Amino acid sequence: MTLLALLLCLTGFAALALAMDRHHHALVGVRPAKARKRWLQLAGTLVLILALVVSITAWGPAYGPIYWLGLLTAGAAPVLLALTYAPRRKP
Amino acid sequence: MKQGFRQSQAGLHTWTGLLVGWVLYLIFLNGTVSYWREELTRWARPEIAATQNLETVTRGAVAHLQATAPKAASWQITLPDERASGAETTWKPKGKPKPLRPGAADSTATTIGPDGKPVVARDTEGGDFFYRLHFDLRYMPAIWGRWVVGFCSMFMLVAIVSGVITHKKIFADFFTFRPGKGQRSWLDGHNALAVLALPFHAMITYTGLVTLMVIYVPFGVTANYPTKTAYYAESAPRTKAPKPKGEAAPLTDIGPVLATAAKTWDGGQPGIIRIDNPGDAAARIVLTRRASDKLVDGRWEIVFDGVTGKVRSSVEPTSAGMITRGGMIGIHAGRFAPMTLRWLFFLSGVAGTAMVASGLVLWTAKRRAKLGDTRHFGFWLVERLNIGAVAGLPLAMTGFLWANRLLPTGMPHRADWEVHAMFLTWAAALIHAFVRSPRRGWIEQLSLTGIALVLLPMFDQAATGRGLIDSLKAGDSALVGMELGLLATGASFLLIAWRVARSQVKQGAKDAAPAKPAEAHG
Repeated sequence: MTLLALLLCLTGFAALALAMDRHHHALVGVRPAKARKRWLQLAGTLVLILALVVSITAWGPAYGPIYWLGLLTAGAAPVLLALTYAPRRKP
Repeated sequence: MKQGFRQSQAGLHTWTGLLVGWVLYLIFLNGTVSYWREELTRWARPEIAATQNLETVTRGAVAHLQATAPKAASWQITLPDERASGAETTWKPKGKPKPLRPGAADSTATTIGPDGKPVVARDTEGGDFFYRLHFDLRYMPAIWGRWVVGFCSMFMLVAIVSGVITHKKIFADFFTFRPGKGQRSWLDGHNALAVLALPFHAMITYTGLVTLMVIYVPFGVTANYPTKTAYYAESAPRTKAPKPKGEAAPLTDIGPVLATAAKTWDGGQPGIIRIDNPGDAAARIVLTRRASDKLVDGRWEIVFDGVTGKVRSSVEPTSAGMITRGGMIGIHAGRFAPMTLRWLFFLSGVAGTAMVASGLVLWTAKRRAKLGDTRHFGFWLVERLNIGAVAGLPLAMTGFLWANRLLPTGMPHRADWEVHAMFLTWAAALIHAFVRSPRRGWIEQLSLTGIALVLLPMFDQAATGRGLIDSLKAGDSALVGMELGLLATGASFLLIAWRVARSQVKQGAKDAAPAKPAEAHG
């Protein structure tokens, strides 16, 4: 369950990062279209909410949100590190 | 207007941060390692093996007290929680109790090992030292320390709020880290560490203040109770011992008592067992639940008749206020946290410590670009204090660990000398920071910490019976974790030292080229 919730947080933040001009440009080479940005933002948010639902299902209403907040940090950090250190296109 | 407000917050953030930064660094670093408080204590007492069965230990403790203090007024057994080992027994003689000199060791105290037999372990505060240091400080009355810590934590809250306001592009920069760019990188790093673990930082600072709220904001208490003692007597009443009857009666078997407690508390275990009037017809057994069983920190208690073993009474927190406060204390200390969550807490704490450290370094990085000539007194002072604090404190804490291993076990006041060793190391690190060039100061202190940490597990393997290989064989996961943790922490310090050395070489090369105008605070 921990792994599932962590992966959801990671995916959610990856989608949110991809919805940003700078990171989309670095990864894909172009700025994202408006519709695509919206879509990525919505998807990222929903996946993060899904991670909360999974956390509450796994650990209950008291512990679930605590796990979720910790896993949000643990999920966002690798996205930041990947965007920083993974090889990418020159801007 | 908007610009003006944000600018004002930038000033507020910078100066409150600098004012309390060094103390906050100490609080964050020691609070963070305190998530491994029990493991550190286990590591600091290699004489004691892992506890397998709590009942064996409890029976051993009762047998020991029965043999050494059959006529005592009361016995107390402090049991280890699932991550700790070694129970402690103390007892009080009949008659008026002599007040214990603060800080003096209780002469009745005996440690009971996992096999239920008394065990002699080296005199050490272990993980409790780091835990206490993070809110009591040291070499001053605890209450002063708590006021200093409360003052700094309040400013931490100010720094968190003003930091969020002054961070212009909090969402645009959410995933941004641009390494190798001097001040820009420090700012990116500081922001990333702050934003990614923001829920933790806000939670830990706020709940930290709540743990000591009766000291800081006593007005709710003083308005409603004649004295603070009266408040404590009502909010945390102590079950009074009945008068002894003077008739001898054997103490009931402790096994069924433990079983009843476990049933009442959904599998929960006692942390403290107090036995009043042992051997008397009016004996009572008071079980207090351990903190690691539940989120809410509070008083769960069952009182048993010491002769029949029947439950007399029980209490648990019921008022919404107590549960809210207990919940906040519980989430701060994380005593309830199973391993996964404990690691999340710990890593967030590491992020918080690094956030404070990077903020302190950022202060100098920003001014170095502006000042050009760095012989300014304030700059010189902050730069050197940063080295002595940010690099010197971990070095000093490593000194504590080495003192634990090297001081002779029979030495008088041994536990105190471990602490003195830590502060002497720290003083040496501060002096070193002022006499060496900053570059050498950073590199030497960071690499020395790294080397000293990496050598510890090797020393343990050679000189104690509980090195990494022994613990792996024994399946003692806490000590395996400790040894690997020391290795990993040491390696991280060596890596940081190497990065500092490398980046300063690069910077030195860049200085020869025409300087680029410094970027503004973002």
